[in-house]
Amino acid sequence: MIELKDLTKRYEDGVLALDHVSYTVPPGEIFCLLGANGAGKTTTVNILLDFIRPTEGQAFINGHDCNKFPLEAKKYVSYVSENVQLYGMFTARQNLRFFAELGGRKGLKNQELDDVMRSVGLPEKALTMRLKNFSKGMRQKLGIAIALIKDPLAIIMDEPTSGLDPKSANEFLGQLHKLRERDKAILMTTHDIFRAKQIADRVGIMKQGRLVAMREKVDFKHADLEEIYLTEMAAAESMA
Amino acid sequence: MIWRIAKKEFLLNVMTFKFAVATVACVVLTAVFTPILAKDYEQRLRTYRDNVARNEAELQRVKVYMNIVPTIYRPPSVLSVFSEGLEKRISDSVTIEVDQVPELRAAATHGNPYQSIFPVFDISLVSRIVISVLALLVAYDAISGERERGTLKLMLSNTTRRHQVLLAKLLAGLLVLVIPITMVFIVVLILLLSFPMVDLARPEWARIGLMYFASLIFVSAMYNVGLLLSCLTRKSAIALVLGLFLWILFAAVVPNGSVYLAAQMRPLEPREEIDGRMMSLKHEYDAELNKSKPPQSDGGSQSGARDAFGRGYDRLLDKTAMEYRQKSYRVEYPLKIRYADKYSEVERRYLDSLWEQKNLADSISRISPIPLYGSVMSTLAGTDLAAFRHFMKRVRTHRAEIVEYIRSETEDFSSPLLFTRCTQEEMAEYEEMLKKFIMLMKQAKSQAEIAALAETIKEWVEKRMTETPSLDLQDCPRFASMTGDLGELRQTIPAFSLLLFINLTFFALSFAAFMTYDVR
Repeated sequence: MIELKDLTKRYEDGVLALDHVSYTVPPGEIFCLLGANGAGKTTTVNILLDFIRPTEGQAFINGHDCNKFPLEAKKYVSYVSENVQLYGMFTARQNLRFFAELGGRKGLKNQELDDVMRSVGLPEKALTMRLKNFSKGMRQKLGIAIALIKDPLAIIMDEPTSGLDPKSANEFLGQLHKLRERDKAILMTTHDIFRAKQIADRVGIMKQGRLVAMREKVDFKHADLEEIYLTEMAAAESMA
Repeated sequence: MIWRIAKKEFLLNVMTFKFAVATVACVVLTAVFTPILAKDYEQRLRTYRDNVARNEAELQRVKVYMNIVPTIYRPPSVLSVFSEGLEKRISDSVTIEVDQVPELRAAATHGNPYQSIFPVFDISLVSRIVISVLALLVAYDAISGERERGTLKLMLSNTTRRHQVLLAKLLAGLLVLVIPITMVFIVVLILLLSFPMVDLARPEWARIGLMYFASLIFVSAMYNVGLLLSCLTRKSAIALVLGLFLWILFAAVVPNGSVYLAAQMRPLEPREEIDGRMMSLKHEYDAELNKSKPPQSDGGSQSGARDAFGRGYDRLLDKTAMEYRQKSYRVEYPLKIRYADKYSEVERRYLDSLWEQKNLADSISRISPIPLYGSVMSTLAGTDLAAFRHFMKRVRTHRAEIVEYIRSETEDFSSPLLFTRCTQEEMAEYEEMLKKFIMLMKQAKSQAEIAALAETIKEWVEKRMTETPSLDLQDCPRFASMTGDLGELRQTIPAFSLLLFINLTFFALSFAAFMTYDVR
């Protein structure tokens, strides 16, 4: 479970990146954070992974404070970032083994590593191929394999579909479905309203550090999510 | 965790093109230059042995004490292959003379002329140029490169601590750099030991071990410099540019700038003034000598007898000449010794100020690990200025022993043995012959009679000249060449400590920078 309580972040230059944001992502849910650049989506991710400290409030992963006990919290989370390049001179298997070991999965057999890579849709020939020959989509799939091999309770994804071609993006969404079925709590930041509508159980709309709206699947399943997004953004702007 | 990250880092680095190129370059340079340096060492060793043997043979042939003027040779250092230092730039021989205290002087060019045309890559230079650049190239993207690839966030999204990442980077960097250093040392030792005249004794092995250790600390320092730049920048390209800039600063600007600064801070007395002071001392000596020397008197002598060290001496003298020389040398020799000390004092003061200036330049240049490492290597190889000063100090002591030996053997320079081997009987006989000859000339005897007497005298003189035995110089002090005294290695302790300090400082700064590094 991922939980944010009154999370606030003001940077040294005075910019308020997060303004008392609170929400919870329970197991088995995909929560999509929507918002323009600078809305505070990545700041949220960075606080959850303890890359930066909040000014106020708290963030929890599986009940562990991400900033007070970061190593405890990180035991239960995996991270998929936008445009991760990994190590080009290593094969996919070597990359996966390295990060699996960092995630505490030591002594895995090649077969186990290959199974995870196959499960995210990497073709057979890619398993022993050096990463410098991988396409962006293949790298992204390996990024998901890295997140999966740790078998975490929560997964945080920062713009994971950015730059993916439609086919790869679709395959990626298929993976997310599988993860939800395995009861993972998934927090995904994205610009992509179309994909968010396809996959999210809940969406949060952020603007200038504030969570201006939260919508359940039933609210946007048959509605135009883009219209909801724009309406909420306009409302937030007029309130400001 | 540290080992896991270090292993990954190590593998990634050894798979890079830069590592392959640098390692091959190191091995090729070593393989090409070691035989040249080793051959040159053999040639110098051969010359040294010939010179020492010739010197000893000459010493066995000495007929009079004033001709004990041996030349002392400094044995070439086999470790000059590792660091040539001043080996060929300072004269390695000096003649022991009563009227001159030996001092350091520049060498006349000799040895392999090829080496004066092209730069010689000894191990020290290979490390200072190729391996130090490699250390920076391995380190510059250690942190900033991970950030750019997005792998730093991925690593730290696990239970990896930052200090573990940094320590792993350091460990991996060192393991990577150990490879070219070890290969260079192995190649140089294999090639060096294949030369028949090269014989490495235990002290030399100890010095080589220390050189290897110094090389490791040096490349570690350079790696830590690169690591700090990587921790201070968000883009590896910027770290690379800064690294290369620092390298130029360390390798070229600091060593040359320190010499310039030292010259400005501690200027030397102009050489003309020193020469002027020497000249006035010489005039003073001449005046004192003329004052105390007995008046010139006519006397007969048979000069031209050949002695050792290319010198000659008076084999036969009449009483007048004998007495004149005895009186004269008794005054002249102590005066020569006294003035030799005075000349030396003037020269030494100049050399000491030169030495202080050099020390100041060295101290300034120690802010850079590159000249610092170069100085450690030349000290360990025994090719630095301190080694030559030490040699010269021992030569001066030896000269003092020789002077004392001559003084004691010649009863304070008053014995005829100082300048002749003419005995009292020979002197009387020689005088008698001369008188007879003069009388014959005065009596205007026939040319045949005069020629017959001249021939008799000539035969008599030649017999004495050829049959003169050499002096027994068994107890004359001999110069013992140095036998790799490890005690002088204590001099390297400050430089070693400074290299370690540079390592610790740069790593501590990297640590501080990385703890607050923005991984986003």
